[in-house]
Amino acid sequence: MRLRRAIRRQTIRRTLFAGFSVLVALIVIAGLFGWGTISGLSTDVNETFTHANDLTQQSSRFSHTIAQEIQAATSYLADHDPASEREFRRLGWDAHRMHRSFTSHRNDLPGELTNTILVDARLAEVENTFAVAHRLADLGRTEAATRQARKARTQVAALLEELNRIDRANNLAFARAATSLGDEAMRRSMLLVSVLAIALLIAVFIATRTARVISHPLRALVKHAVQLSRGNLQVRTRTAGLPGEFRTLGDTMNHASESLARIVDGAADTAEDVARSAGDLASASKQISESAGEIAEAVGEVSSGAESQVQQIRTVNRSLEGIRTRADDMVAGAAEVHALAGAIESEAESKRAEMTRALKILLDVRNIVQKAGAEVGALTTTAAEINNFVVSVGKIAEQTNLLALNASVEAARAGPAGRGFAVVAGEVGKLAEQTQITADDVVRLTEAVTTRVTTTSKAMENSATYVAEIERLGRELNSALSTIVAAAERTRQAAAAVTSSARENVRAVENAAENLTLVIRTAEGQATAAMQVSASTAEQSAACVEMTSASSQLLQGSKQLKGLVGELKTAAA
Amino acid sequence: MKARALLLLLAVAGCGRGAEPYTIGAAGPWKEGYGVMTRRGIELALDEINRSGGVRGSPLRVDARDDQADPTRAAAIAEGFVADPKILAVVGHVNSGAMLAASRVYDGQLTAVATSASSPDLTGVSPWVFRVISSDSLNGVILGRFANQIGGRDQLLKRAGVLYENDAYGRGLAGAFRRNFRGTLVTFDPISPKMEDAETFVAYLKARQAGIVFVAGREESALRFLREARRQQFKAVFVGGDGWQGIVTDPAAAEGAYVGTSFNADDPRKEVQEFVAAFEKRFRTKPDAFAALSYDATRLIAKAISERGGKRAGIRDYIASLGPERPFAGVTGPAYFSAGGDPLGMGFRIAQVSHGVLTTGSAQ
Repeated sequence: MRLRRAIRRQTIRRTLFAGFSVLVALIVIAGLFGWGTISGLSTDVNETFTHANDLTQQSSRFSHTIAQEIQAATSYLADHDPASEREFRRLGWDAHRMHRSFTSHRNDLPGELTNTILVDARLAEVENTFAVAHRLADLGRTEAATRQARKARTQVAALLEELNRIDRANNLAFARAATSLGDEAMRRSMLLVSVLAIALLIAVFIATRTARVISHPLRALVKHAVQLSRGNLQVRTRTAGLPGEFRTLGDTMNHASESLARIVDGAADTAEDVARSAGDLASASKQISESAGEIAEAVGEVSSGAESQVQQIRTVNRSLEGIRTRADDMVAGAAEVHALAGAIESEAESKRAEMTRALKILLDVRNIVQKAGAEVGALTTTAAEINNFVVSVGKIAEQTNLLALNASVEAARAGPAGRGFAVVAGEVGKLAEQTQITADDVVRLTEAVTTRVTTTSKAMENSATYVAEIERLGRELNSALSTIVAAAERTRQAAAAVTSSARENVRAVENAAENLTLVIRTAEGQATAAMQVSASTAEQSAACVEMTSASSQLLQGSKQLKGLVGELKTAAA
Repeated sequence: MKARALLLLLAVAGCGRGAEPYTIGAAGPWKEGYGVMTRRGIELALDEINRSGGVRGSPLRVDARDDQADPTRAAAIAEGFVADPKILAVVGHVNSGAMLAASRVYDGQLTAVATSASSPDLTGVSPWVFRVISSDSLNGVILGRFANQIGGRDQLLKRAGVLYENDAYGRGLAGAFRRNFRGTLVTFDPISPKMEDAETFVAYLKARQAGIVFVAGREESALRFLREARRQQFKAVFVGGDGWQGIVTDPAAAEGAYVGTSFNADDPRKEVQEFVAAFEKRFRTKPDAFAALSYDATRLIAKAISERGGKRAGIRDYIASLGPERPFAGVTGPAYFSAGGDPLGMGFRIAQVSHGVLTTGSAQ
C-alpha cells in the first residue's frame, strides 16, 4: 500500500528508475551475499584446515618429541649416559610445554581437549616410570630397573595407543568438520540459491509491477480513446494514482473529452437553433412564396388591368379619333356657318340695298309687294333650312359637350398624364356649350325672322298703304338687316371662333390622342413592367420554393445533426 | 554427594526468607584432604554471609561439584556451570591442572576464582579467570631463595634433590624452584601423586647425599615420601610448597619440614584471628591456606554480587576493577588482581611443622 502510494506520486521514469535501482541493489546484495557466503565458507574452510594442519603438525611434533624422549630414556637405561638423562628431561619438558600449548590453543574440535589432557597424563605416567627405572638403574638394581622399563614400555604402548586414538579422533573430527563444512557449503549454497531466487522473484515482481504501472493506465487510456472514438464523451480516466506522464496524458484526455463534450453540446444547441431557424425560415419562405403568389396574381391582375386600360385607352383614342373627325366636321360646319354668315351678311347687305331700292320702288310696291310676298315665302323656306342647320349644329355641340365630358372623365382616370387633357376637354365642353347657346340664339332669331317675315308679308299683303309704314318698316328692316348683318358678322365671328376652337379642339384631341398614345405606351410599359413584375414574382416565388426546399433540407440536416449529437450523448450515457 | 546435600541444606537454612537465592558454583577434589579444607572455607564463608542477611537481601547458595582434580572432569563440570544460567560465578577450581582445563571453558562466559591453583600457566589464561593464590612462578622464587638461605655455607646444603608431581602444579612449582636455586641439583625427577616408588627415590637421594629435598606435590605423595625418608633415616631438609600444608596430620613424619603457604593462622590481623576462631569453633581444627583461600574466594564473589547484582559480566568487571587503593580485605591479605588474574598484595610465607602445627614465626 505504501509502495502504491509512493508509485502514485511517481512518474514512469521514476518508477522505472526506482525499479532498476531496486534490481541493481538486489543484484548487488545477492552478489555481496554470495561473495560473503563464499568468502565466509572459504574462511571457515581455511580456518578448519589451518587448524587441522596445525593440529596435525603439532600432533606430529608431539609424537616425534615423545618418541625421542622415550628413546633417550631407554638409551639411558642401557648406557647411563647423563646426556641421555638430560635429553630425556629436556624432551619431556618440551612435550609438556607442547601439551600446554595444545590446551591453551583454541579448541575447535569436540573432544580435542579431553584427548590431549589424557595424553599428558599418560606421558606423565611413562616419565614417572622411566624416572623410577633410571633411579633404580643408578642404584644398580638392574633387575628392578628392567621391570620398571618393561612397565614403562607397556605404558608407552598405552601412550602410543592414546596418540593414535587422538589421531583417529582428530581424523574423525576432521571428517566430521569436513562433513559439516560440506553441509555448511550446501546450506550456504541453498541460502545463496534462495537469496537469488528471492531476488529473482522480487525482480519479477518489480518488473511485473512496473509493467502493470505502465500497462494498466495505458489500457485505461486506450479504453478511454476507444470510447472517445465511438463518440462516448462522458468517459473519464481516473488519473489519481497514475504515474506522472499518464496522469498528464489522462488529464489531457479528460480535458479533451470535456472540451469535445462541450463542443458537441454547443453543436447540439446550435443544430437545434438551426433546425428551429430552418423551420422558421421554411415557414417564412412559404409565406413569402404565398405572398409572392398573391403578388404575382395581383400583378397579373394589374397586368390584365393595364391591358384592359390600354384597351379602353385605345377605345378612348378611337373616340378621340371620332371626336377629331367630328371636330373636323365641326370645323367644316363652322366654315360653312362662316360662309353662310358671310352669305347672310352679303345677302343681308344686298337685301338692305334691295330694301333701299325696295323703298324706292315702294311706290311700285303693289307689284313689288306681291313680289316681295313671293320673296318672303322663299325667305320662310330658307329660314326653315337655317333652322334645321342650327338644330344640327346644336346637336353637334351637344355631342361635343358629351365627348368633352367623357374626355374629362377619361383624363381624370388617366391621372396626372390626363390633366392637360382634362383642361382641353373642359374648354371643348365650354365651346360646345357656347355653340349650343349660339345655335339656340340662331334658332330663336331665325324663328323671329320667320315670324317677322311672315308678318311683313302679311302686312305687305294686307296694306299697301302702309307704305310709309313699310318704309318706316323698311328702315326698321334696314336696321334689322344691319342687325342681321351684325348678327351674321357675329355668327361669322362665332363660326370663326368655333372653327378655331374646333381646330384647337382638334389639336387638343390630337394632343390628347398623342397623350393617349403616350398613355398607351406607358400603360403598355406598365403592362410589360407588370408582366416583368409578374415574371419576377414568379421567379421570386420559385426562389422562395427553392428556399423552402433548401430550408427543408437545412431542417433535415439540422435534424440529422441533432440526431447525431443525440447519439453522441446517448452513446455516452 | 552427602556433603553437597548438606551444604545446600545449610545454604537454604541460613537464609530461608523465600527470596530467590543467588547461586554460585564450586569445584574441587572434595575427597582429598586439601579438598575438605577447601570445602570448609567455603562453608564457613557461606554461613557467615547468610547469617548476616545474605547478598542484597537474598540468600547465597553454592552448587559444589567434585572434579577429583581431574582436568577432564573439571572441564565437564565447567561446561555444566556455564550452561546453567543460575550459576553467577565459580569458586575454584582447586588444582592447577583442573583449573587450566576448565579455564578454556570459562573464558568469556563465567567468572572463576581459583583457590589454590598456582600454576604459572594460569597467568593470563583468560580475563574471566582469577585466583586468590599467588602463582608458582612467584612461590617458586620464594621457595628457591629460602632453600638458598638454608644452605648458607654448608656445602651439603648446597645439594638439593627435586621431586615433582608430574602435572601442571608440580612442573610449574618445580620449574620455578629450579630456576631460583643456586646450588647443585642431584636429581630432578617426576613422581606420581601416590608416590608408589618413594623407596627408590629416598634411596637414590640418600646415595647422592642431597642436603635439601624440595618436593612439588601434595600431601599424599609428601606423607609417603616423608615416612619413607624417616624409615630409611634419611636426614635432609624437606621443603614443600603450599601443597604440603596437610602434612601436619602426621606430625611424626612431618616434624621439621618447611612448607610454603599463602596463609598464616598466626597473623595477628583481626580478620585473620576472627576467621581462625570461627573456623576452629566450627570444625575443631585450625584452618590452613586451602580453607583460607576458599573462604576469601567465596567472600570475594559474594562481595562482587552485592556490588554489581546477579550479572556474570558485572561480577567479572567488579573483581577486575579492584586496585591497590581499593583492595578486597581477605584473610590471606588485601587482594587485587593483575591483568593476568594473579593476586597482588597477598602474602606467601614459609612455615615449619612444629609439634603438629605450621608455625611461621621465623618466616620472612
